[in-house]
Amino acid sequence: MFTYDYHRPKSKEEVCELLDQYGSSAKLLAGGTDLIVQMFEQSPRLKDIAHVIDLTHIEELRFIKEEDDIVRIGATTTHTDVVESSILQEFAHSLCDATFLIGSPKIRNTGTIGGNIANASPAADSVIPLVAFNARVKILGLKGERDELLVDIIEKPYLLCTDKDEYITEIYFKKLPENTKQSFVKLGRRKAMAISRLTVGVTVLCDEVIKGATIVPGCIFPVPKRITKAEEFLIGKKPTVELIEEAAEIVSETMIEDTGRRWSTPYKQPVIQTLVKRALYEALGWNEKVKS
Amino acid sequence: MKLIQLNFNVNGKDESINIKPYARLLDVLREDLGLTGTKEGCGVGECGACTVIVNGETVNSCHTLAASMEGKNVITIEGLEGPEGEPHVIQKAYVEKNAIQCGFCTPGFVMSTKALLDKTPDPSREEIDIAISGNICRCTGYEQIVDAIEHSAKELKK
Repeated sequence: MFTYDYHRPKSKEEVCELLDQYGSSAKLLAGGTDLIVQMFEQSPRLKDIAHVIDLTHIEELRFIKEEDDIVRIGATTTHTDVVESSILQEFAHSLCDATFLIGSPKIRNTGTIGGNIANASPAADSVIPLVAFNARVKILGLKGERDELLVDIIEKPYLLCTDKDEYITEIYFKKLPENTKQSFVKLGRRKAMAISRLTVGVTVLCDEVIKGATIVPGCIFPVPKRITKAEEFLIGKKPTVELIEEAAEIVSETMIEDTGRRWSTPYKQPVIQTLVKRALYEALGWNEKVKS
Repeated sequence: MKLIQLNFNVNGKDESINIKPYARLLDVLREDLGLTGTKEGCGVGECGACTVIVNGETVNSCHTLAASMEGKNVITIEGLEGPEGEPHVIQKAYVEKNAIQCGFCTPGFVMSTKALLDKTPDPSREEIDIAISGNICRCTGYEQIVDAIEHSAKELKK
């Protein structure tokens, strides 16, 4: 077990001061479901950590709000808060669905949305729908607040592009255009407690033809991203089984272009295609018969 | 590294103790307070043997930092004991329905049951499955445990 000092700041600003003071020897505690386990197991990534700064007692970091056409979520909002939020169920149900699949009730009662993002695991479930919503984050530092696209702050797995005095205080997104549908599908090794192997989050706006779409596969890239090539391919076209099939192929081709052929490719390629199809079918409201 | 003072309530009793800043809630309960009913199984939040209730919600005490528990209310398996030392209705139901074999996972399952029934007195089978999805039993199997939870719900309504 690593040993470290503990700090419990009372305000958002005090966190920045502590981060500035302790630099790379400090780590934020936003729930602890990853951090405390990794510290206990002496993860080499955390060997220089000598200070843990607890965010969970700062009330102003835990909220879910609807402000006109924006939905705002505080960084230390727990996964359970997200799952049970009527605001999120109405405007971001795929985020609720993804979050409900994280760990167990005990993990969801402790783990937080900000922690899930800041841990920057390629398998972070809540990140995928948020990227599909083009979510943004507010980052607070000693010089003030800045505002970035969520996809732009994840530099590589387990690392954010933030300065040493900065941290995420809020995640927000614009409500999706009216009639936009959304879905999230996950492949894990078992139903509960499963860390995702592959996931897909989508949004689709469609009447006669597809007018808007976002497609975000999870776990296959080092950092999350939308597959704009597949999205653009769908726009302006009438949704058919063949069209969705082709879009799913574009996603899997993009995976291979970006990450190369690996030992797992023969497995991942058909599975990611199936998950993309499943996610789009679900968003389009197509029934089981079409799926098979 | 200096010790820090932790003020919290455990099983209805206010506690004020000096703890190591990196101690997990599990360590403090077992080693500082002698409440050894809470077990350490996997130590990584997978098995649920260390389940306790914090402010009405279940948590894995193995990945909960004790220092973070300032001002919180914690209930452990010891807190379920009746005034005369008698077992709780849920514990009796586990015995009656043969939901215990080696017993190591049982305190965790009982705490998950308690938190579920406090919020949902009449749970569906699916709600029970979800409530115990973070608890692993390697000898009894789950059918008897689910039966015990359903039986607890009935008994608590009497």
